Amino acid sequence: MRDRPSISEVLLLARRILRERLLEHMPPEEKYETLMIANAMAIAARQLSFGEEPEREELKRIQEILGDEKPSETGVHTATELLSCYERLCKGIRSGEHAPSSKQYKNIYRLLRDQARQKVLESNPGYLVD
Amino acid sequence: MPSPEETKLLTDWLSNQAQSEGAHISRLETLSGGAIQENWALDIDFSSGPLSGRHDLVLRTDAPASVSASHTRTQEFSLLKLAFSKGVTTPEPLWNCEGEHILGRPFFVMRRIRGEARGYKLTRGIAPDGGERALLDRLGQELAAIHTIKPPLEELSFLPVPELKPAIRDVVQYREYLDTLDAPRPILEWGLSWLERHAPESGEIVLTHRDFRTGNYMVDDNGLTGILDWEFAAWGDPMSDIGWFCAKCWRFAARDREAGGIGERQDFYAAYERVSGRAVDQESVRYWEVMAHVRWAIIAIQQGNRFAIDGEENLEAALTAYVVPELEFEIMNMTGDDI
Repeated sequence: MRDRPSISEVLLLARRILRERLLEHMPPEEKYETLMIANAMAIAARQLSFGEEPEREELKRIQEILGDEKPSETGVHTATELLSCYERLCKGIRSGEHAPSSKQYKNIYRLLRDQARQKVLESNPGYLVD
Repeated sequence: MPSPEETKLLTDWLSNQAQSEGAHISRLETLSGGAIQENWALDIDFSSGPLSGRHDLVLRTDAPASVSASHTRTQEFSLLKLAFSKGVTTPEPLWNCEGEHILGRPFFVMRRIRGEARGYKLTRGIAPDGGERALLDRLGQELAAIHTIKPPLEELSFLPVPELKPAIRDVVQYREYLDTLDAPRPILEWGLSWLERHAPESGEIVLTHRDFRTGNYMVDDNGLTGILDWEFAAWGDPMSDIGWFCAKCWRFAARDREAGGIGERQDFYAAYERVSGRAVDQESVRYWEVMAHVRWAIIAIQQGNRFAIDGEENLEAALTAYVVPELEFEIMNMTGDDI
């Protein structure tokens, strides 16, 4: 268990200082880049605060869809396992195995829709409310 | 920027092109550092000849790190020349230098047009007096003019005429690209399968601009001053340009204004139909809007890989990869019709 303040909280504080105090002192040609840095910090803070839970949840769902009976082996990195599942999923989508008439079509749609939404929550949550 | 020796070579070359006895460059500076091309503002005075006097020009050349899938400067020059000759509002192309003996890379020179091109600026309101409708009318006419150009054409012989339906051609090309990536992209695979299943029947083949969108034209107080960025033009389905223009990902600050973040689709469509005599097929346009999101996602991944794979320390390119989630979100929203 890591201590408070979490690094995502610290990142957000650093970002606020950058935007609210330092930005106005930047020469005009560096403001755009500074805003990009602030944006990168915000994305990092959100990814940190979500942690690995969304990926673990996604892995569980994708393994169900792919018919994997045994759960992930302990010690194997979630992202690595996800990548290997993605590869199989992609092959199935392209080959037509997961065509609209297939059993898993709707489940795959929902999985990918939720994955996309989660990634937007991390990259640019404002996009979902506008 | 060019060295003093290169500037001297450039001045002499321009002077020769303009049939002038001499010339003086008073300004030569980068206008914008595009991902693919660089544009330099070039102010020049010719001492004699038919163009005697001062001219505000743009020199367009390859960026040091060019992204694939765009034409060479010479090809872009040919496209611009042809479009200009057909009455499309573009910067007037003047001279092309295919060799590398002047600047170490090919370039061409065109007249500089004035105005605002930035998408976020234009979509936050152009004019309080209905300037948006007039702009959409004009853009519809311009696109119709571009679409009067049809194959085969000797001067555009470098553009392959698609053997497959343009939609399937794009699906194949994007799958080939996905196959080169380290990480699989299930949402793009999903999108491409949907696009393969729903590909519209092949209709007319015309010259498509392929980047006709807000951000790639200029507007001043009097309206449109020019259509820019011809580097992706190809033979294709005319509805594809309409889909690209209207796609949600190109509406910048005004996602509710479906025609390029500027205004109503109807104003754009009506002008296009009036001038082209071709009906806008709304189902096909929607199809091409899905394609637009897939295509932009692929370009954004390419941009991100300039940092992630090639190690180029470019924050803007790196962050462009973080646009992909929004694009994928829209792809999923648009392809759930049979769920």
